[in-house]
Amino acid sequence: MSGSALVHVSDVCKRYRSQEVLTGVSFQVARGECVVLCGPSGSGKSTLLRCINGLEDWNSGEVTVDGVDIAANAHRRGHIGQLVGMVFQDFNLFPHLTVLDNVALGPRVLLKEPSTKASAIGHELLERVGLSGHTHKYPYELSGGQQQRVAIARALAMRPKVMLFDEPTSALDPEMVKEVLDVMRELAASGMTMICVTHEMGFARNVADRVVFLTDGCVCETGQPGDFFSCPTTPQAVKFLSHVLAR
Amino acid sequence: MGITTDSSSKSVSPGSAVSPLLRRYFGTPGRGLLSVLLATVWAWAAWALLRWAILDATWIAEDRSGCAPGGACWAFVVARIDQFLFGFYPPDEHWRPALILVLPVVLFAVAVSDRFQSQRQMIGAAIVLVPIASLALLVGGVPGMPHVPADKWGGLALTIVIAETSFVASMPFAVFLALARRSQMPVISMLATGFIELWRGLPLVAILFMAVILLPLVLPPGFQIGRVEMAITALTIYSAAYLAEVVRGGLQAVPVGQLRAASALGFGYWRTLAYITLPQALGKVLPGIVNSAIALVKDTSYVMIVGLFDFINIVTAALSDPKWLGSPTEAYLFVAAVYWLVCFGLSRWGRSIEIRSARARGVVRS
Amino acid sequence: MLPQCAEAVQTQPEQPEPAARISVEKGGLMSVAETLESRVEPSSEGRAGGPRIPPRLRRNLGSIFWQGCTLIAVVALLAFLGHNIALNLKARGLASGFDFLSKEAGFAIGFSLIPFTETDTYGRAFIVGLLNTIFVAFVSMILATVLGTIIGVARVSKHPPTAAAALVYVEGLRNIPLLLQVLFWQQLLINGLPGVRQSLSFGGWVFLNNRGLVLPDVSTGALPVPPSLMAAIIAATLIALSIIAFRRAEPSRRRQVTVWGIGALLALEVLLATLTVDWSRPALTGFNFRNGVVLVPEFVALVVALTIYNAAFIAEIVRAGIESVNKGQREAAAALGLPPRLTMRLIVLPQAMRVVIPPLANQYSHLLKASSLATVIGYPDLVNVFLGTTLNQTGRAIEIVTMTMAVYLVLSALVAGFTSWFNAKVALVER
Ligand SMILES: Nc1ncnc2c1ncn2[C@@H]1O[C@H](COP(=O)(O)OP(=O)(O)OP(=O)(O)O)[C@@H](O)[C@H]1O
Ligand SMILES: [Mg+2]
Repeated sequence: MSGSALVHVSDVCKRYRSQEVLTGVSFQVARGECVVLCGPSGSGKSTLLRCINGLEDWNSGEVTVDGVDIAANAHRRGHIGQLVGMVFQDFNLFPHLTVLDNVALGPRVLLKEPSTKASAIGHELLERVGLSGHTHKYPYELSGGQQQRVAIARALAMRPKVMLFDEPTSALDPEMVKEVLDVMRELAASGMTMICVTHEMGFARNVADRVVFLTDGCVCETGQPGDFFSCPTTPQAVKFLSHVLAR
Repeated sequence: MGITTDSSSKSVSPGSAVSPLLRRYFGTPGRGLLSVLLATVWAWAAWALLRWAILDATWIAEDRSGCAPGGACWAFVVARIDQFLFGFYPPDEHWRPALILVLPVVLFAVAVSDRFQSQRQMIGAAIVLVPIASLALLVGGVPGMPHVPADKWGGLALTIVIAETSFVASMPFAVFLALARRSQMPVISMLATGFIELWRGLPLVAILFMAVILLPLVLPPGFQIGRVEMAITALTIYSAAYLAEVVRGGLQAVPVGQLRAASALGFGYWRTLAYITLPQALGKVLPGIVNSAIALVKDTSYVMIVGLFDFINIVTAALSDPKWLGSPTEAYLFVAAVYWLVCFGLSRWGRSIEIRSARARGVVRS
Repeated sequence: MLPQCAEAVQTQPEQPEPAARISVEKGGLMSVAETLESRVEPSSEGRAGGPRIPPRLRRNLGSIFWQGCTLIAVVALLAFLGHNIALNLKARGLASGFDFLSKEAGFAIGFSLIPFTETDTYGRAFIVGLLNTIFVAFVSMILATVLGTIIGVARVSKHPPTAAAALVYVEGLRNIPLLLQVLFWQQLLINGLPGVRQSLSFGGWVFLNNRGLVLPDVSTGALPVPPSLMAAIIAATLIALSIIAFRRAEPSRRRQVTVWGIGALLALEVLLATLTVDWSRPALTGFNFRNGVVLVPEFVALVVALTIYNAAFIAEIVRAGIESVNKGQREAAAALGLPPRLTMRLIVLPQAMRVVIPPLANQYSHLLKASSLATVIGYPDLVNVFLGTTLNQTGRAIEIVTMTMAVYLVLSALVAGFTSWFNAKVALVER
């Protein structure tokens, strides 16, 4: 598996001043694999994702995506944007642009597509996430679930090799969670490489190829979803699962 | 955790993870170039300024020709310092304007020091008393302090007295205007709005011109008004109009619940105002009030329009002294430094109030 | 206290104002009403009078009484002042009326955008002053906005030396009175610059000396007919094309179409102007420049001072605007792959705009008013020419003060009106 691995994270350490947030995280994600990253609050999941697309500096260790060293290329945002797409918990759509422009901005400005082509890409992706009727609305005119789907389309428009999701559904009302998860499920089925931080254990169980469990800034346990949920090996994972599944 | 086997070798060579600080300065070639360039400019500017202002400067001289070329000629400022600070005040009485200069500094020191933070009332009283005392010192007319006519006043002392007096006089006026503007009675609210917007819409220069032209006309015949009074009147009205808007912002920010609670306790309109609304409203906009005070200090320089020899005007007038021709840069730098210290000090104070009140509300900001 | 609360509740449905105002004024109105009651009917039995005069009416009566009093007091004050003015004018033998506007001014104006000689009227002098005010304010506004934006962006730079330089600029300059800066630049321009013969030359087209800034002139003759006709035809076509394109464009593209349309028009005009207009290069002959437009040193000093001073404030406005943009927006842009410069231009600045415009408009209005400092250094702006010279010569104090006030109030109102219009417009795109 490691031969065809797309994302290598090896021994990443990260400190905020004196606080150790990541203490040597290592794992790999193969092409087309969907990995769910879970762990208790404050265990460093968001920080890890932000390191993978170079939004954050780290202190030691190495991250490569498709053979590209992220730290060395962190300042070349245009380059990283085409490797790694990211979906945020609170959507972060650009409020001054229409839905279509939000999606078409990347292709037009960064991929240097002509306007018409960029719009076509936007329309196609919005269609794919089920929002073809909303192209000319502004973000504030959409529901949270719709906004999050736009955010997914926006990230996909850069044709990234891997998609990162940082708790994409936790800012949503329960009835909207499903529509976003459906889009993610469809994406995973289409062969996209994905790393998802989520507390949706149903999604992890049914869609993920592998679960990586993070505590105190390092990978504590990793395994097939079936194994992980039925017989976790570490006490931390047992405790975590008892909390999460009890909800 | 078990996966990390050779962590020692990794931490020795962190590879690409350069120190963030270093990357901040030299992340890209352009950035590195800019760092070097700016550092050079900074160093050069600091060195040039140091040489010109201190190392090569002349502090004492008879006239301009006695000053070394290439350095600052502070001798001009030194020679005229009495006049710049005290105007044409009789030398025997110089202690009075000197005291006027010292009083606000003491007041400021008390206001910022932590020891007196609890004595709000005392500071408030001092803020009202200092201008009155300063004005009294300047005018004189009591035993031990002979009267000094207005045409002898000038320099920094006059600037300070005008700024202090107009500010303190404009405060109650501003509160009154703000309350009137928020009144539910349309006539009163409209009159107040019109009055405020009228003065806010006019340039201070024009207002001062008008004070010179119109005040003698609108006063009953035979009624004289001095130039200092004109200037203080104009600045008071002008400052009150701006302050009124600041105060109104504070009034709007007092939660409705406060007023309901007060009226449930049986407080009437005026009591609610005095004990509940105003203290909260003024507290909230204290930084805004300080900003208005800074603006007023700078605007005081406009009184040269009515022909007063305030700090800037007296320096400008001294520039035409044939003995010292060609010294405007030094003279204006001196004036600028004094104004800068006052305004910057005030603005830091305003900022510290803001931070303190934010902390009190539990919203700590960087 | 219970009846009071009941009344407050009663009032709310018919008062459109927010509840806050009602509560603030309630006590006041109550006490007013009580005062009124005791004045109007001293014999009535206090509270028992309630049923006979309904509370609302009682309050309205009180309110009307006080408003009437205020109005009478204000009118009386104005009448008193007016009376004094009449007496004073009479005592000084001063005439009144606006007829002076058509009289010959008899003074020259050192700098004007339209031709003005001593034989022109005071009315024309008024126009000259007004144009000079608008001109100096407009030029300074544009320069201050450009400089202020650059410094504001530098202020939030992650590159410490840049941020520090911007901070020093802002803190250094906004704490020094504008008047002092105006005087400083005037002194520097007059004493610090070389004389006419040693003018600093910028490429042979622009010259700077102690008599001002010399710019290339355009020949003032009217455009020959064919080019202007051509310009009109092309412009009309462009406008028509733009309108069609605008109609057809998707709503999200419309702004772009508008910008392109206007841009094309401007480009066309500039092109035609450079092609058809005669640019004459300033040339030094004897002791002065020929063929050039001279911007007097007073103008240059004023523009420099206004620009530098206001740029410091605009920088702070821009900084606040940038900082008001949610951090998530920058991250999302970075995650998408936008480099910092594009993030700033495409994502941050457009959003900052919404926060920036109202205080910016305020600053513009401040700048406009501050331009009247022209008087101090002798640039002939409205205050200088009209409130100064014209008033001195004609003595029509009331008329001249009124006209000057009207001009500034109208200009301020325009700025305020624009701000509220803009606010209403951009508020729509708020989350
Ligand atoms: N900008 C920052 N400065 C200082 N400390 C930070 C910063 N961001 C995160 N941390 C710390 O890093 C740790 C990990 O944070 P992170 O956001 O990665 O956790 P998480 O696993 O995503 O938690 P959650 O599930 O609550 O989102 C936390 O203890 C947090 O306090
Ligand atoms: Mg998180």
